[in-house]
Amino acid sequence: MRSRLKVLINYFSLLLPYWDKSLLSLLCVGIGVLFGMATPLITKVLIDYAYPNRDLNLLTFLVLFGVLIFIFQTFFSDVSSYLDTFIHQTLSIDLRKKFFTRLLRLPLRYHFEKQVGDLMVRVTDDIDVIVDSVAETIPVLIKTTLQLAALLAICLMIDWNLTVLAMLGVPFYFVQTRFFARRFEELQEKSQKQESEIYTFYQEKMSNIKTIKSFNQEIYETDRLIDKLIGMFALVRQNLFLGLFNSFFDATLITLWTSFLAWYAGYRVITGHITIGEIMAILVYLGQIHQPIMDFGTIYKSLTRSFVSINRVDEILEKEPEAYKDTRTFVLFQIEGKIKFDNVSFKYHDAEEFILKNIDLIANPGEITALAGTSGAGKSTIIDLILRFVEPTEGAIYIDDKYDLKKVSLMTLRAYISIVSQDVVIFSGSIRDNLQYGRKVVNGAAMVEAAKAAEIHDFIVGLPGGYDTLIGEGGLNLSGGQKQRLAIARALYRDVKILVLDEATSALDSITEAAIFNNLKQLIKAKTVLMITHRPSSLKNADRIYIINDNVISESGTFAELLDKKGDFYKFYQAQAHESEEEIEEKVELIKYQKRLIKEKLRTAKALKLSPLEKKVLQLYYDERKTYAKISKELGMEPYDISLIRRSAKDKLERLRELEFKE
Amino acid sequence: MSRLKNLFSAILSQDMAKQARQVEAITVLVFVVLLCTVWWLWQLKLDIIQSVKDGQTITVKMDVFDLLLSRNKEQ
Repeated sequence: MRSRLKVLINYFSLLLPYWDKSLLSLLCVGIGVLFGMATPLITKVLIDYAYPNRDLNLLTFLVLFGVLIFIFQTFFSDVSSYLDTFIHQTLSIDLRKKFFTRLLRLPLRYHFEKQVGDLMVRVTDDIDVIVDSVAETIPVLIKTTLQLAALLAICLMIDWNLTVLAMLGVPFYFVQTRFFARRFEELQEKSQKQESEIYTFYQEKMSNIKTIKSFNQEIYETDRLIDKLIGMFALVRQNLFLGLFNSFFDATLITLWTSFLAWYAGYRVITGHITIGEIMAILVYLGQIHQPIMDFGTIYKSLTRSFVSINRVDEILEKEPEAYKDTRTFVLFQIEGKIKFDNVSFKYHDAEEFILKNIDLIANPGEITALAGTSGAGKSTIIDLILRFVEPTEGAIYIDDKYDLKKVSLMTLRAYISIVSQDVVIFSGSIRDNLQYGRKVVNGAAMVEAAKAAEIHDFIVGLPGGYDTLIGEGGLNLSGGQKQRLAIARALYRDVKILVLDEATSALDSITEAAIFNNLKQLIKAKTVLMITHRPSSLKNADRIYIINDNVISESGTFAELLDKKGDFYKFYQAQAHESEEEIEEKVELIKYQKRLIKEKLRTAKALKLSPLEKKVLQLYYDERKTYAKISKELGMEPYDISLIRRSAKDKLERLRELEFKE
Repeated sequence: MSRLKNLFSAILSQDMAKQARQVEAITVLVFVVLLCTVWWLWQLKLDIIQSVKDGQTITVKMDVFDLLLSRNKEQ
């Protein structure tokens, strides 16, 4: 009981920012209640004074007085409604904001465990129930108390005998209200659970409509929904019957009691204890008195029901959010982007088996580091660890060899990482909105560059709306490959230090994939790229590959080194690429040759680099078509020397062209 | 009709918080008017004919609040 009171006080404190409006609304309610009491009293004066004495002036005055009261009462009750609605709506926004913020900050694991439909019911229905209770309970409670106090005071003044007798019926009413309130609370709990199940069902089916259709399961799923709806209907019926019984008991109790009071009031008039005007007034008041008493019952039932919703919402609000786990954290301002796993092992709290064991891994800036291996080996968990969705059970992860990831502020850590996952999420809105997601400063040129690098620019400009074309729900339907390219463009546009590609090119053809990697190589000079992939064509682009098997790193090295080893990667590659041993060996030789060629090119290109003087001579001789004599005059050299410089520069250029052609 | 429409659209397009503050201010003003009216009614003495014993009547001066809460026992 005490904890319930504490919870209520906690929720009612949400009204504190609106104390001025609440107070004014209560004042209006009070005035409305007092004015509402006046009409029977005016009737009483008319019957007891104006009519018997044929007092026309009093009659006129009382009618005008009644009109004045009506005007004030209407004004104050309308203001009270306006302020109550304002408080109700702003409270609803406050509570939803509080709930949603906490929900988004909860660890990812919590979201995996909870069903979306259930969370939807909590954020909509449950919050509605709580807001209704919090916003309405206090005004109704005060209005009811005032009304009851005023009614009792007037009734006691007119005839205390009748009033005391009338109040003797109240305890019976509260006993039966308490009985029904408990049943209503139980039913409310069941109804909210059932509604969560239905929401989850809708959400799950709507997002997997393709699977349902391909398995021809439309009728089966409709039948399942009907079963759930019938279950809900049964609960609604229970609620209805309980409500009907409750109303029946209320009405019976009130009718019996009022009838007895009407008889007793008549008896008091006949025996000369009260006047006709007084009995008229007191009967109207006693007729009104059951309303505030019933309102007390309604508030009690509503509060009891709202505890079910409060518990469901508190379950989320009381969960510890991930961002506040560490109180002393590093704020990352400028990082290189090097990631180092130092003997990292990971398992979930309640699990016995490790998902990753003794992982030592380095991903350097300017390089593509690939993670490959069998399904369920723990590759995606490595990404989750880097993004700190989960934390290592043993060992540590470092950024730039100095920042322990556990002690890095989450906000700044994730600001340095962009992720493109296999299941691309495209939000409803324009292509531009999707590309700019997560970026505060808009740079149109950079956005177009990112789209070009992701090989999606030509497709976008080909659309009638270009970058403003609407996509997602109600917009253009993109293919899996287009979505992936858009997601790559979004990640590149964020221009962060660490880029994570989790099977990001799985829906792309090999030509587009090659083009994207080619573009990426130009862009990632200062970025750390981590890539999870099964595709041999993607793995060739990696500078270093880690093979994860049975939760440990079994091999690591370059593509050629790993193929040379003929270990796990060799088997993996053979299975994925469907190539014979000879073909693979040929490929390894080719890669080695290409690498040698590139090294040689770099070495030669360095030797063949033109000096500024050579460049100037070439420019004057070929572009401006000047003679040796004129050039020698301009540069202050002998014409013969100029001719030698020109020849040597031309030779260098031809050799460079040859090299390019060879490549 | 169009004026009424304009009035409605003007009310609905107003900033909610600003409007609520205006409503509060107007309510306080009306509350002051109400207090003045109550004070005036309290000062206003009405001539009320009241029955006494043997069918005789007397005239008494009463304000409206006294009148509403009084009991005419002789009726």
